[in-house]
Order: sequence, then C-alpha cells, then structure tokens
Amino acid sequence: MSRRIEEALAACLRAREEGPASLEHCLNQFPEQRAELDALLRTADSLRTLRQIRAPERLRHTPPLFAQPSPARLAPARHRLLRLLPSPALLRRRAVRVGLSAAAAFLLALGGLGYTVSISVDSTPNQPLYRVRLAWEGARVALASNPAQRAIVHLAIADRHFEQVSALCQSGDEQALAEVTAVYLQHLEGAKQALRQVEAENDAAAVSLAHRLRSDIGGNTFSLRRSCSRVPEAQREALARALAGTRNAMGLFLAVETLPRPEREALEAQPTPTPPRPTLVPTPIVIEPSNVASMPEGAGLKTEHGVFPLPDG
Amino acid sequence: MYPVEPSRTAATGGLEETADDPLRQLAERAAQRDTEAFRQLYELHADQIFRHIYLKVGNHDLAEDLTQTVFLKAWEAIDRFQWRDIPFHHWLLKTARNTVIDHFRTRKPPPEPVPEELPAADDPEGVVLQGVTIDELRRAIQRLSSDQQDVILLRFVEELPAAEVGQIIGKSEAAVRVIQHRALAALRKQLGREDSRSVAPD
Repeated sequence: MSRRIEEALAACLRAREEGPASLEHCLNQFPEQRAELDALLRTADSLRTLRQIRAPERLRHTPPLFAQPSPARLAPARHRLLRLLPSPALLRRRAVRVGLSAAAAFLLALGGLGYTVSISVDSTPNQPLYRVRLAWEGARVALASNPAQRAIVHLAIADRHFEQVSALCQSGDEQALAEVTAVYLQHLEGAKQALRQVEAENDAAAVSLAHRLRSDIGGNTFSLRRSCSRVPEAQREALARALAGTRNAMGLFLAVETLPRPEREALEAQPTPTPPRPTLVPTPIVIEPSNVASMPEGAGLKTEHGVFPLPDG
Repeated sequence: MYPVEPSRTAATGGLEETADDPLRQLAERAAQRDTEAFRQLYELHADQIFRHIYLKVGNHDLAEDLTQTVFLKAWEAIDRFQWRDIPFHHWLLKTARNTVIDHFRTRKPPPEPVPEELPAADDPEGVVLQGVTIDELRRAIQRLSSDQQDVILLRFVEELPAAEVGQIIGKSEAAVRVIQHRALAALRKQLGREDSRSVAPD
C-alpha cells in the first residue's frame, strides 16, 4: 500500500507538470488514494510559494565575499561606507568557536581552577585563521566588479587592519604589528590605485569616491596617535610607516577631491623638492694651551666637526 | 546532461544549461579564474542558494553567512570544477547542503525557530497559497529530517527532477520518491491541513 502511494504520487507529480488534464487522468487511476494524493499535491503546490524568498539586496547584487563588520564595532564615521558592503561575521564566529574550544581545553587542563581566557575575535598573524582571513580578503578584492568598488573594498579591509594596528601597538608583539601594518598599507595602496583608475575614466566619480575615502580614514592619524602615544621603541618604525602611509593616502584623496586634475598632475609631475644639504664650513681649530690643559690626556680635541686626537707631547 | 525543464530555468535567471549555453560558458570561464564570470554566476544563483539555506537554518543572518561561505568555497574550488554531467547549480546546491551539515555538526542544533522578519518577498503580508504563510511553511520544513528537508526543498521549491535530487543528496531516484512521499505527508500533518485539503471526488 505504502509503495503504491509513493509510486502514485511520483506518477501524479509527473502528470501535473504536463497539465491539469494529465493530472486529473492520473488521479482517476488511483481512486482509492485520490483524496490523499490530492492533499499531498496541494501541499507540494504550497511549497512553490517559497520561491518568493529572495536574498537580501545587498547580498544578491554584490560579490559574495564581502565581510561587513558588525556596525556596533565601527566608529560612527565609517558606517556610511561600510553599509554599502554586505558582510558575514562568519570568520569572527569561527574564531570565537576555536577560541572557546581552546579555552575549554585550557580550563580542563588546569583542573577547572577558574581561569578565564580573553579571546580576540579578530584573527591576528599569530592565529591559524589569519591565512584564511587574508585569502578571504584577497578574494573580496578580486571579485570587486569595478575600480570604485575595489577602492571601497580595499579601504574597508584596510580599516579592519587599522583597528588591529591600534590594538597591537601596545602589545609588544613587534612582528605581528609589522605584519598587520604592512597589510594595512598594502590595502591603502590598493585603494589609491583603484581611485586612480576611476579617475582615468570619470573625474566626477573620482571626486565623489575620493571624498568618501578621505572621510573614512580621516580620523586614522589622530586615532593612531591617541592609542599609540607611548609605545616600545621597537614598534615605532611600524607606527611611523602606518602614519606616513595614512597621510600619503589622505593627501592623494584630498588632492583628487579638491584640485582639478590637470593642476594636480602638474604638481605631481614636479620633482619632489629636497632640502639643500647644509654646507659644512670648516671652523678653524685653535689649540690653546688653556684648552689643552683642561682636557684629559689622550682625549683629543672636541670641535663641532668631531674629536681630533692631539699629538703626543 | 540532464534534460532542462522550464521550471529550472527560472532559478537561474532564464539561462538554460545546455552544451553551449551561457551558463555553462560562464562556469567554464569562472573555472579559469575569471572573476567577472564568477560574479555573474553569483548574481544568478545567490537567491537560490540563500533560499535553500535559509529554509534549512531558519535564521536570516546565519543564512547570509552560510551563503557567502558557499560561494567562498565555490570560488576556492572553481578551478577544479569541471562541467561533465554536473551543472553548476547542482554543484552549488551540493556545496550548500554540505555547508549546512558542517555548520550543524560543529554546533548544537538550532533552537526551535522563532518567527522573524522574512527576507525580501514579493508578498509583504507573507500570506501564501491556501492560507499557509511562508513562515509556517518554513517552520514546518525545519521539523523534518535533514533528508526530507533536502528533498522537499530541491524537489518542490527548486523543482528539480527526482533523479537530479538523488544526485545532489547521494541517493537513488527510488529513495527520493519514498522520501518525498514521507516528507509531504509529514509536512501536511505539520501544517494541520489533512482534513481541509482533502477534496471529495466529484
């Protein structure tokens, strides 16, 4: 009986695709199961309506791999840009899962002494998920459909790394900071190049995009100075690079936004002025007995050009 | 190559999957790491994959995440994709199925789904055929077994032939027929429609 109803259902589903007459013919072939078949077919029909479900607009019309950080984590000034980018928090959730598993194992190993582990949800260069994160970001950039979108994606990614630069500057992890800074600068550079591409095609679009990009990183230098005001000596080089790269990008964005293109290109074409090297004017060295007498033996004569050994005797 | 049914073409933006069809060409270009081709494939299939996942997991945000995971996996493996007898959307649906399985394998089963705002639907009231809302259908589907969910969604939402459903979920066509009957019967029971839906013979 069960087998028969399954076959009858399969037959009537096929018949239904051919039209109402075929379906009616099929149902008539199974008079004993007709009521049940009819109910099952109506249930199947109702499922078609689920095709109304559509992906959200931002997911449907945007390449798939754009991650959008939770708005709550973002500075308000960045919302406008990042709203444009759909984003899963999947990697973060995975990181939380991995972190929680590790924390659980750690606590078990310590006999449940109640240690807690603070887990960063953003993967850093020291974490296994970091490579996945970089691959993900690379794919996001590759899938941007046009230079303007690529610029926005680059800057959104740069922004995430910038947050880590700010976080790592106090950590003492010199290598991680250097690596995160390098990725930050790399994406800033990508945004600049993409902006230049936009500019080559459409000046007005470039001005608008430059304004958007500049608004987004406008507070970065201030933020970096504030959060990294006192850092270990070893980390200063990376921070200096981050600051210089940010200023450089800001400069380009501002120039594209405010200067007519020919004027800006003329400025860029000029060689960067280098400050003149100071001319060294030899100062006559006057050896006076009183001067020599005041110096320890063999110490030499100190002048503004160096220390000159005094001849014996 | 599977025969193409009209209903299938709707799911892929009207592109048919014949030997020299645009969809196949797109997939083959994407397999050569052509990002523009992959982007177009994404736009054609995003609805289908999102819908499939959403109806299985019942959570809008999670469905978005998993949809993007599916396409990330697809992008990572696209150069290994060969058309052979597997249309691109089969490959994606199979990836989506495995992604959902992996998701639930690594975390507790989801709590009883709660009504939430539906993703964009044409019907703002959510009221659909026969007085059953989309949300009621979704919740009823989530109470089915995983295989039943797959068959229901692939067979009656995506309207794939039983043979293709079998290929995607790794079961024979006969097994799919059995599952589809049980799934529809269970669904009908869930929806409490067994009496009202019965139609007396003329």
